[in-house]
Amino acid sequence: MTDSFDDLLEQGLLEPSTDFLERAMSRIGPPRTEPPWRRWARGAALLGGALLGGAQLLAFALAAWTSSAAF
Amino acid sequence: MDDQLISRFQRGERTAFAKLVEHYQRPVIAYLGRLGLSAAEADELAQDAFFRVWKNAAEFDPRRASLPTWLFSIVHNLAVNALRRAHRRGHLPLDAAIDRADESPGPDVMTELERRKHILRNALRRLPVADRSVLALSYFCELDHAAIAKIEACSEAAVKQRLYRARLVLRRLLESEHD
Repeated sequence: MTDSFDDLLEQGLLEPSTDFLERAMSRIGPPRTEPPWRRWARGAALLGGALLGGAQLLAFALAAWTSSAAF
Repeated sequence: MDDQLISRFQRGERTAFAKLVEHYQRPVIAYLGRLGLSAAEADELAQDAFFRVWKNAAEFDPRRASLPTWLFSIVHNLAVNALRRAHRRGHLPLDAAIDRADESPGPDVMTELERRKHILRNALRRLPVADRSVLALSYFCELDHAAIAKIEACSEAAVKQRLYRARLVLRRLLESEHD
C-alpha cells in the first residue's frame, strides 16, 4: 500500500460532524434530576422508619424483661 | 479512559457519558469510514451505537473486556448488520459496493485529496467485509490483535491472516488504480 493511502487510512476517511456530541447527548434524554422536596421526603421516610423500628425493638426488649421479671 | 470515569458512566452520569462520546467519536467514525460507509451512514450508525452503549451501560463488565473492545463490538455488529441488510436489499453489494453517485462529486470537481479518498473508499469496498473490518480496526491504537479477535469473534491467528490478506489485496487494488 502506498504511504499516502496508508496515511488516509490512518486518518479514517471520515470525521465526526461538529454537532455529533450534542446530538448523542440529546438522544439519551434530559438529565434525571429530582426536585429537592423528594430528597427531603426520602430522608424523612428513612428517619421515621428507623425511629419506628427502634421503638418496636425497645418495646420487645421491655416486654421480654417485664415478663421475665414477673416470674 | 480511567476506571473512575467508567464507573461514573455505568452509574448513569451524563457528564461521564459525554466524555466517553468525546473520546471515542473520532475513532468510531473513522472505523466506519474505513469500512467504506458514507458520511451519513457512518453518522447514523455511530449515533445508534453510542445510544446502545448508554442503554446497556450496566451490561459492561470490565473483567470480560476493555471499554474500547466492548464499544467496538457494538459498533461492529451494527455496521455488519447494516451492510448485510443493504446487501439483501441490493442497495450496496456486501463485498464490492459501488459508490453512490449522489454522494461523490464528479472527478472533474474533486480535489486531489477527495480523489484519493474516492479511490481508497472504492478499493476498500472491494474487500470482503471480514477482512475490511479487521483492517479498519487495526488502525485504532487502543485495540491490539487480541481485542480485535474478541470483536470479530475469531482467533488472533485469523486476525493476523485477515489483516495480511486485506493489506495485500488493497495494495494490489490501489496499484492497479495507478496503472
